[in-house]
Amino acid sequence: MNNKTRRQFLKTSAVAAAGTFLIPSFLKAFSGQEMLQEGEKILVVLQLSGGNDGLNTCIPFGDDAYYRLRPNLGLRASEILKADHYLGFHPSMDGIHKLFKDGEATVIQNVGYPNPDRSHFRSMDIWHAGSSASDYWQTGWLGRYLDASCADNGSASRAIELGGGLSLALKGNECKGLAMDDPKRLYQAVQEPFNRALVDHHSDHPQVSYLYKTLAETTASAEYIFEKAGIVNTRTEFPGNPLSQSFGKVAAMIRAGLPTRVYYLELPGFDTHVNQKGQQQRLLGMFSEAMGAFAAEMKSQGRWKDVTVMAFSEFGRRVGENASGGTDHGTANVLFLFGGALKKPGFHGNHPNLTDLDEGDLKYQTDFREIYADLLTHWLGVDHEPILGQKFKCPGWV
Amino acid sequence: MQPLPETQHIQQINHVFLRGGFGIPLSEMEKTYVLTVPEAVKQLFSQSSDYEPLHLIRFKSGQQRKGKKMDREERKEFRQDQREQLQQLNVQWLRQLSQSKMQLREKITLFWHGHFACRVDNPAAAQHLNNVVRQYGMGSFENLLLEVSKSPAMLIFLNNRQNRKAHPNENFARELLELFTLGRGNYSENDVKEAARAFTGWNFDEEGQFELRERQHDHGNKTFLGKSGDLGGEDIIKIVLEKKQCARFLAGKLYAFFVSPQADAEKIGQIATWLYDSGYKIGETVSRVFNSEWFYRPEIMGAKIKSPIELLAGTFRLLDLDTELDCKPLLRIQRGLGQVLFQPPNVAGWPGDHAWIDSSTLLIRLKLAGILMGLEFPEMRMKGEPEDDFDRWQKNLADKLDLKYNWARALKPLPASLEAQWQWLAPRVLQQGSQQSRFVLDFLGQVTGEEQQKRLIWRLLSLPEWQVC
Repeated sequence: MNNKTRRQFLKTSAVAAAGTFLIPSFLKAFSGQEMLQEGEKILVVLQLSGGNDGLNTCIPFGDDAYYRLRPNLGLRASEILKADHYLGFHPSMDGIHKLFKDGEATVIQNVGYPNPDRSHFRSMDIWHAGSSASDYWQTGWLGRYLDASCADNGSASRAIELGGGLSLALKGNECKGLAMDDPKRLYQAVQEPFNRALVDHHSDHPQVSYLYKTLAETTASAEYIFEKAGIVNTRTEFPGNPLSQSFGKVAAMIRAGLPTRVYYLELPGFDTHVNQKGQQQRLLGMFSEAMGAFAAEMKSQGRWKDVTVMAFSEFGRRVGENASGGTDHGTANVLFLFGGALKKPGFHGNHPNLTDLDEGDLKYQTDFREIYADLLTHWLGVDHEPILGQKFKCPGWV
Repeated sequence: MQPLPETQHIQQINHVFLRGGFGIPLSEMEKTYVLTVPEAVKQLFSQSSDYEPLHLIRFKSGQQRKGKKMDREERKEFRQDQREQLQQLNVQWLRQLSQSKMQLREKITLFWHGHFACRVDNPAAAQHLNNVVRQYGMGSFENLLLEVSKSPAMLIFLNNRQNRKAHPNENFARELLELFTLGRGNYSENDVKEAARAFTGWNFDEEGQFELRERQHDHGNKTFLGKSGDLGGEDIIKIVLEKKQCARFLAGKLYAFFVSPQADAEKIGQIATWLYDSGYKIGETVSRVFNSEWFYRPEIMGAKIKSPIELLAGTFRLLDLDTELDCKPLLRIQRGLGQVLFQPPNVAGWPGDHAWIDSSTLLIRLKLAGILMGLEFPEMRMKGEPEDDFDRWQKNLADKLDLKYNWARALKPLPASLEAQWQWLAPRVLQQGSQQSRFVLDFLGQVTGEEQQKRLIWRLLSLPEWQVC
């Protein structure tokens, strides 16, 4: 933002209206120096909710046990998009297959954690908190990243979740990300006259003041984001499905130079106990299509080297298929990293061992917190130990 | 004693019923403010001497066995049935929270609902645990804890049915010590192992009745927190309660829920002593809190951010809700606000205080009164809502909600002129900052009479000041 537009912005925005108590953090967050510059790193997290079946995503077609345990759900070797002589991708994952071949995907197998929990809620809770299975943390790993990196610095726009609400992952003790469905809708909501009147008020009471302050911050962020990136303005055309549209909004915000280091998106529907085939094909197709379009757009912006996308699911599914054409809740799973600056693209981890199982489930090999540690340390540039509560070895993937 | 200035008295009486319940209905305010604070506290407690269970669902005999024999279609139907029953249970309780005469009992039930946070698919088990904490929640903590530990919901949720002599499952024993009684750092890993052995074989039968399965129970010698013998589950609970740390741990949670999220070591120590010395009598301890001078200090009144359930129940109660509740839209609203009854995020319960607030929940909270009064639509999609057409979704939610209030009762005490109505309502409805709320009069639109009164209430409830209690 040049000085003139910045002054205009401040004059008309909630920052000015809310009075001086807010200005330091916002001036900093929204000043020209704080715009993300080329070279500054961005993390996009994609949550595949419901427990994606990793074995039919990244498929060990070279393992006879796969076909033995999956007589109906097993995908024929001829339709699989082969990555090597043993592993390949689901036929609907054309876009991701291409990224893989171009060295822009890291595929980590057998990711999980000790004493896995097979409940969606609890396992997702563990992934969001970044805790062990025996801990109940009430903040999320990216929220604590915000706490550690920008406590007095307009945190809300530092991490944005595209969706109906804010996930635990983005809630810190002091700082929280900003949740929105769509920049325009959020903007319209805060522009409503009564809301605008509220932004002019404040309170001496600590709790009430906290609410007014959060409202003013939300309003200011909403105005700023809409002004900068309200209309999706990308060079690539994004497909019409909701996930691709969300990636399009992220691409527009990156292009606008928002000071946002973390974006969070979700693709739900992976809980395929029944009739998995069609459902998973549709979802993986969306995932792959969105990734392809997003990578293409980032390349055309010259930012692909500054972006890492991590796609995870709360657990994988049982190795053996069930009697309803689906699979039940399992444990270890495949995790994806995408980006233009991956240090070690390709497959990592052993091939899943389909015969040495823990109660019918795969045994994990890589703790997901090692991947978090890697992203925090080497990508977002912060010390992961205080955020994750212990030191992990960083595999050096990013 | 000098009579208190009126607004301060109103604030203190509100405080009693906001913390010990879900606030005072507009229609009952005048007769309630006649009470002194000690009289109000006394009334709060005397009205909760009885208890009224939720009674929607019956434990079906043979259900467990039948479950295993069902085919795919039957199972699907069965699951759907269970989900719907849980939804009905949710709104039935929400209604009871807002309408029961036994306000304190319901409030304490909500406290234990978060303390013994449990998430099960079986609606009969969920209802049973809820009734257990309602029945025992104001009595002795020992009885409460024992009944909770024996409840099907807890036995299912923390895997104690899989806790057998040959393969102990430590889940329940660990959470018992970490989250229900002592808190981290006050026991060893070995204590967890030994406690787990003591609870082996704790299970329930097809009628949902607790049973000790002797063949799965470990009768060997155990050492727990320094005591040895053939300890059973009851012994573990007794030994835990002998530790004053247990009283301190509970006192901290009671303080955060009933007094303030800002911990005060001295007050918490005082509550712990009351609790311990009374033999863990919960109602008696809460009563001493409500009768303490410090409970009415200005920094305590309004110090709490209402939980979503407190907001919903409080709005319904204030306005004399007078309608059957449709489950689905109310569940969606609870999800959007981050608190669904019977669905805590994990066994640690809802974190509360600032954790309720983020950009999206705050915007919904400020619109909530308007949505519940049928005057506004939500302006943003809420968490967990499907990605269908936004306009359709918005309208659909409002149509289904369709709440009715007894306006004749609720508006009856209001004075004649608009200015007087604001002066009457603001200090009664807002625990904080009522004087600064005058600007809402500019946002009533071109309406008169009853419609204007409703809008005045709507705007007052749309202020951040309404979010605290």
